[in-house]
Amino acid sequence: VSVPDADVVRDVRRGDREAFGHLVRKYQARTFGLALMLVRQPAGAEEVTQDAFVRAFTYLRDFDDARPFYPWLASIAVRLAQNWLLKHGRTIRREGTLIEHAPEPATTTSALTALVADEESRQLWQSVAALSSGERTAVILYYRDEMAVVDIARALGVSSGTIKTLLFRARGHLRSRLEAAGIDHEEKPT
Amino acid sequence: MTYRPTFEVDDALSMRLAALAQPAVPRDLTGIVMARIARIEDADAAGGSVAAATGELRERPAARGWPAAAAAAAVVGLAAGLALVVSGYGAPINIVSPLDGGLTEGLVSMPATASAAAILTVGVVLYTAGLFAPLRVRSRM
Repeated sequence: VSVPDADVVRDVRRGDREAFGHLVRKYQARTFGLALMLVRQPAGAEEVTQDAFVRAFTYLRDFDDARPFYPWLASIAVRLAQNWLLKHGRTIRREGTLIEHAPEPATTTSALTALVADEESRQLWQSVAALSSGERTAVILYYRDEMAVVDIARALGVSSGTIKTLLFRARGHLRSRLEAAGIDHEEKPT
Repeated sequence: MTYRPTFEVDDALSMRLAALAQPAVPRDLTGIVMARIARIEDADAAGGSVAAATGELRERPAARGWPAAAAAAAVVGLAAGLALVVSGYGAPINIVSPLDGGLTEGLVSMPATASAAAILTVGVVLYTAGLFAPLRVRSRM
């Protein structure tokens, strides 16, 4: 039986620390996947994921339980990933430009894609991972995590318009890459 | 007719991205996170005890000082009163209301002896010091 996140958060706030484990188990894969896309290094992604959950627990009193839990957790993970990149000299934090023009890490995506089992998913991961940091973050949060544009904008500290632009550009880049990889991405009539 | 933004188009690419496989999560990530949280909570709890103990230590001087100051003030007050009575020995003390003219007669005169004056002075000084002595407890923050 799936317990609503708001109920779990309430239990944790009442002092049931173990209840937080439910949220960790539920969101660890999504958060790790997001962190991995951002830092593109498994060890760094694990560090970011751990820190995101610990920070979420520490600041749970600030969470508005009228809102969904994951976007709040994702916004923490994104900030921590940005800090991690900054600490490792891989990006320059400048509001509004960070996610669009951040220098890319030199790490290859092989370590990243090794964590994905099937070949087609691996190709897709590779294509997404090759996007700019802003585009891949927006793609992961919008398509895979099904977050609203406004929530993504809040998490990344940019405008909704910027997110829409990033998603538009990302689709174009992905189409080109998937075409090159021979993966079907044809539009279907709606 | 309305158009959705291009990134909302329900095409194969969107579906592929929505179904993007999750990477394998590091082993026992939940356990590690919960252990870290437990350590932080324990450290916080220990810190809280230390703070409480520190608070007690900080409160002790004030708590111990207040009764001592009150006792000292009482002793000094008694001594001053005694000196007053002793120095004015023999003179009747009239405690009748001034409205009845009681205080106009038989008022106790100020002590003329040096020792009595010194005792009175010390008493007044201690009383005044007691009035302005710092009694507030320091903040724990």
